[in-house]
Amino acid sequence: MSPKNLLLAVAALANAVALHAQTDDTAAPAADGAVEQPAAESQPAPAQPEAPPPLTAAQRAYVEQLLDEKLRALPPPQLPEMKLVWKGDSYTKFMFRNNQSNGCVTWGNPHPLGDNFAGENGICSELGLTLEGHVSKLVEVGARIQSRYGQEWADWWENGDRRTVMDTTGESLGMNHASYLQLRGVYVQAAPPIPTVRFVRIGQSDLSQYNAFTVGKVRYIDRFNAAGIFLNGDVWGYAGYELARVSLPKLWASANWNTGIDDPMIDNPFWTRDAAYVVKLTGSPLDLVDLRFVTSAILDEEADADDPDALGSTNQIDAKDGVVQTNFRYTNVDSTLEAEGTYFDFWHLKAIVGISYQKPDPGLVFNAVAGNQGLSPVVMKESWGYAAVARSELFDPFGIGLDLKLEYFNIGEDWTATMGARRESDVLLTDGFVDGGQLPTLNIANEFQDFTEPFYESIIGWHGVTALLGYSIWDLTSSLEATYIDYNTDRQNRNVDTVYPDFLFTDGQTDTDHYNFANTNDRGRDPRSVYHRNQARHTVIGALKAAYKFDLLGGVTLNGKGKYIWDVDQRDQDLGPDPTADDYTGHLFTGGIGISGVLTEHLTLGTGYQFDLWLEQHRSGDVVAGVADYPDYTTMKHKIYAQLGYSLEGLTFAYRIEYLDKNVTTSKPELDYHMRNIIRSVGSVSVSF
Amino acid sequence: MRTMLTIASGLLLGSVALAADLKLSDPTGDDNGPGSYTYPTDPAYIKGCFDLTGVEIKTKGKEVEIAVTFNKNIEDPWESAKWQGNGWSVQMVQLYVDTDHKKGSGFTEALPGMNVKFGADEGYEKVVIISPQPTNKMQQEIDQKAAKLKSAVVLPKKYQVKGKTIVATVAVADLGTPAASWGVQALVGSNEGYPEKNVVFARKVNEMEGPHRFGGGCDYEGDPGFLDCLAPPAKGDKAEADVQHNALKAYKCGPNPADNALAVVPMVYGK
Repeated sequence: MSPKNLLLAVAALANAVALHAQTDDTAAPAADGAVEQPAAESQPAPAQPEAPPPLTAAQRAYVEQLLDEKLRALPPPQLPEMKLVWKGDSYTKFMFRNNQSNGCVTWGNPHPLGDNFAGENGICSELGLTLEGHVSKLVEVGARIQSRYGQEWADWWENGDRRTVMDTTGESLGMNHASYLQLRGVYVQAAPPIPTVRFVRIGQSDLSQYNAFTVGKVRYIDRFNAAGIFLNGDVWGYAGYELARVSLPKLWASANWNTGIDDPMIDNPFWTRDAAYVVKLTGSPLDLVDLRFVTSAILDEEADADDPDALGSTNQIDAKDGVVQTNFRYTNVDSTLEAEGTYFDFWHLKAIVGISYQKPDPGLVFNAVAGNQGLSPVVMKESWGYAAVARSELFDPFGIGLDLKLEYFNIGEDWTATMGARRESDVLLTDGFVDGGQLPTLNIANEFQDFTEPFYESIIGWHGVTALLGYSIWDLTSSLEATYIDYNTDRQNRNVDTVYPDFLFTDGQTDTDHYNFANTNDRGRDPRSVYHRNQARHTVIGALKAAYKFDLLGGVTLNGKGKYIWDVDQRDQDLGPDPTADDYTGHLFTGGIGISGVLTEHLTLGTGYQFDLWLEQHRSGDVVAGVADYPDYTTMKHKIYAQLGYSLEGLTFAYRIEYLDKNVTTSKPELDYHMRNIIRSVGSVSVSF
Repeated sequence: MRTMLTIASGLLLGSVALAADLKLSDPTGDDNGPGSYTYPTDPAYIKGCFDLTGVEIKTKGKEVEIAVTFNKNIEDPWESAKWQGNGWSVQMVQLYVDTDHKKGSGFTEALPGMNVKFGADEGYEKVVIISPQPTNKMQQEIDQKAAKLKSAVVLPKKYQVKGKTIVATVAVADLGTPAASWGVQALVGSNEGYPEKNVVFARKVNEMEGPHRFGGGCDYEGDPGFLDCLAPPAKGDKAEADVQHNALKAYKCGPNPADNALAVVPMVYGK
């Protein structure tokens, strides 16, 4: 019964009671049984006393109580489906370090001109608003509005104006400190009534539907930036397809780190039509195996300067026709076929093979290998490449808690995936050299990140195998890795002057704790440096990890890790008089132990220690006047950390503090240095609403 | 005295005889709720990832291992380690257990967001939530949104992901010793990290699918909030898909909640 009807019923009952009472009152017999007659009309009737209420106070209170109970028992009225849904998220980061940097992100923009918001002392807040509009059952629209990150709590009044020298006007630090709200992404998704078409999406996408070897999922902070037109379909359950045109990001997705907008070879850049075209086909023949075929083609075009219609054209001979011809500045085609299946419920097989083609036009692409110290995301020649990874995983086939994974990988020296995954993905099982993942591109992005975030490395040229044994019993989980890597990039006298980018810093284990873009502190090899002038290299990696969970409080976990890397490189095998004078041998040890616990429903705490010992013979150097000068390095690093997490009904607070000490001693004392007593911390408060 | 001994031994033998490992199967291809549900369009939701194929419950000393198997490898597209998750991203399973098969005993309404109920004589005493969400976050969610069902909720102490199977470990002290007479039901939905205020981490079902919404249901509340479940007798026969569809279709959902009716999900009993 609806509330209204209930009220009406009660009102009718009250009325009935009232009427009955009045009738009774009116016709109440006198004590002697005679019925009183109304007074004659000739005389004015005496004033009648007010009729008593139909219900006593107690009866009324009881009826009201019944009404309350009935109304409370009813479910709340349901609103119609919201047409527009707002979601919000706020994020505040706190950073502290005992140095002089101002900023709220450890590593910012790697561009030579840098930025004015990177640093490790400051508090910055960010607000994001996500709108979802349910236009109809077949059409949905969404958008993201987000404040630009970088304004410190100390930055009062900044209006976005930028001056060459900062001052106290509140109009000097530029847009990074003004926290303006920005449209970050818009999409429309519709399900048109076209046979086989599942949906059409126009606008923002995180590109997670392809793979790291072709068009990779964009990193988290860029998830609203990529946009394209996507047509996704399903052929009556037998196969799936997707056709897409993704606009090329002008800042990194082509040769020389841009799509022509900032290339010295081009006077009138044309970048807004540059795109990656993608085809994806999926199918599961006979339900035995899942197949995925993905092909992507990057087309970066520029106006033909000889076309008389082109801006700045000096062609006075040919007639204009209103059409501007274009030439391809850069092309990169990647085509992969993946197969995957799980058999007998415990045996998972996965394999991917791919070919790549790329061609930079030397007339339209500045040679960054030659002119930018070897920092180029592409090889400066037309090239074909290949890649193959095959993995077999046995999940506890004997029921004793033992897993076995085997992987073979072979990435050709000329494999190119300019729009492949740049970070936050991992295509290999191995722990590798750095703490993040391994990716098949030179376009790795170790930037716009904090010291707590992992580094990623390029695996172009890697050829090897990994065996990973996992064992779990009771509350103990553990894994043991063994990896051997040979390198397809081994070569003598490779042209790293004009063709192959070596990323300038090619030697020494990468120190990701003390990394800086300009390498002013000898932090070792750039994780993208896969090409060397002379290389004859082998690597063996062994890693043991274990964690034990105690049934204490909400769960207390003790974890440990040990890794050993043996890395040798003969470098120049024709070096005279002693060819071994530049031979590199690295014994790289990393170990750590930590404990973390869920103390209460809201609070988690953790602490730990990590050490690194790198013994590197002939770590880095050069041949000077025919004499090899490659000193030996011994690096000892200590890191002690503590962290806290607190969650409360949608609010999450996290905090981590580290103490660092790094001591480097070398066979040339003038190269020795000691970085000590470094304290740094990062905290955050995030709320979604 | 003899009577007491008989009763005591009967009780003892009864408890020993009843303890059993349970193995239930579900046919493939029925990951469509009442038959009409469709997957969200985002690539994280791989076709078949919500297709339940089996549930095994084994006692191992003081612990009970619950292994839930799907038709596809368990993936982790949202990198659960970054949010202290349990090793996978997308699936959420609620395992309901009726320990006594008595009318009037236990709870009949499922946890908020599932939008189904159990028969009057199939009320559950325990529900194990197998979710990638951190345990403390799940506990807060239960406290806030399902306080009256809190006494039935069991959160696993440990998880392992092995291929197509998620293995959750709970304490016997929390769940009880599995018995052949138990009634069991597993509801397979999707983990939603940003649920609506009256829902425990469950992903919404609408009439049309969206990037992160199931389709084929109703735009209001009342439609079952999951894609797959067990159907008696849980042997994995294709016919069980029809049993599931028929049970889950029997809901009413519309703008007036007073007119809504929840579907009744059957428990699967050993004997």
